[in-house]
Amino acid sequence: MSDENIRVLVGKIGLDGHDRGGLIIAQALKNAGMEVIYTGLKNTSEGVVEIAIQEDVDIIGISILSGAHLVLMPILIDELKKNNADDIPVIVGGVIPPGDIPKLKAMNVREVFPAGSLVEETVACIRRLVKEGRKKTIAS
Amino acid sequence: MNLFEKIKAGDIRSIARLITQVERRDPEAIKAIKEIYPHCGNAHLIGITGPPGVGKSCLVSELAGKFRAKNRTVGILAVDPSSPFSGGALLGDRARMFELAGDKDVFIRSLASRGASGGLSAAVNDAADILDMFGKDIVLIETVGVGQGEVDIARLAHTVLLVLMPGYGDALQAMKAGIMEIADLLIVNKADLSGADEAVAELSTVQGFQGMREGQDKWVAPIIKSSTLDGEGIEDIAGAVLKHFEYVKEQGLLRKKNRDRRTNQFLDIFTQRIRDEFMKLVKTDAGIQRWFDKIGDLELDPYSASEQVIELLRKAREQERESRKKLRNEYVLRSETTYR
Repeated sequence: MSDENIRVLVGKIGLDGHDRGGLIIAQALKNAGMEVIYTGLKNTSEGVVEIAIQEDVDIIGISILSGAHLVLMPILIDELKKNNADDIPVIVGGVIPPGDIPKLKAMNVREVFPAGSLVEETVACIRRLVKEGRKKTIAS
Repeated sequence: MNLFEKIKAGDIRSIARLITQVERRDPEAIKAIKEIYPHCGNAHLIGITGPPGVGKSCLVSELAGKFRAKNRTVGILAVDPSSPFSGGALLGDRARMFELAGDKDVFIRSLASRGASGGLSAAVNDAADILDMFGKDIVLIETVGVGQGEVDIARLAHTVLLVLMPGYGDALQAMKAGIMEIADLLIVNKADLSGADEAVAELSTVQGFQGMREGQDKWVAPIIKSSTLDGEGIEDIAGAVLKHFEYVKEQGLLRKKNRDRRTNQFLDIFTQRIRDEFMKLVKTDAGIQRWFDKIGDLELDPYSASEQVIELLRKAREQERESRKKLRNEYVLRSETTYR
């Protein structure tokens, strides 16, 4: 399987009304040939996991600008585990202070893209993570 | 457990994965579809089509809620267009359907059209079968935002809703061939905007001309005003959809509709397979490659080339028939000698 038809969930969780960043990423991923399932604003972690499973996405990208990432991300990661879906990698973008990045990674967030990141980096990271994931599925 | 058994047991991840594999035309998925096929035919397939931005996704979400209130299990297939440039897609229907979150009896799947031009995706037939097999009473199929001619949904769904909004156009628009003709229900959505009554009036005038369903069944499409802002008309639509299905069953149209759908599906798969097989042959057969050269160099026209291929197939069939006849004759002769 080449990197065509990569399915990415782009969503926001919690009370966070700013979706410009998520939309820009969604557009960039679309232009990179990926299928983006855009969930819109104010999802719950449970809702995002449900969507990720039904849509059989290769990766979940969460945009957070509210500052609540350290509270919300553990809930999402837990919910994935509960649903036997923690094989789906999760990445985070948004307003993330540098000091929080290691904390997020310790929760098994695979990559973090703070303000100022290039969309090209995000695209390349998604391709890499999905490729790794698909290799693992074939091996298992 | 194999894939088929997992789906029968209702394993959501397997179902979701199977739809992905069907989209990729994975041989394993096709194997599973072959097993699923005889178990299908229980779901009411409802198509929702109309131009972009008339509120199809919100309407689908609201309708799903109504069907859930009537204790029907619901599957939703929402198709959005793939980019002709990158092949990517922005599947945004989910953003309109958050009210259905958490309901285990609703399964929603977004599909990218992946180059299909009739308003659906090539995988939608199989995806509908998967949800049917999975036990969904109702499968709502939302097309991409369409123009005037994308009518593939009419070959798939039992009931088709055409969603319009105030200001969609005048009576002349409503009289045109194509999408206006396939509607079993005409919805004027966004009725909270001004001009909704005028739109309904135009549509009913045109219906009065009796031209809309010529050569089709006698069902007269109800025209319903709706708004997902205040919920106006949604219950009426849900009721009319179920009523239409009753009508289809009572009139004995269900078998015909299913048969038409399957015939089309078969022809689509068959033509695609023939094409694929032929292209495989082209790679190894220098003779056929020369044909392509000739066609390209204007020495042979594509019509004659097609006729020649069909002639070859016909000859092959005749030869086979002849040899079979010969075999049978020999067999008869032999048995006659034995029993004598």
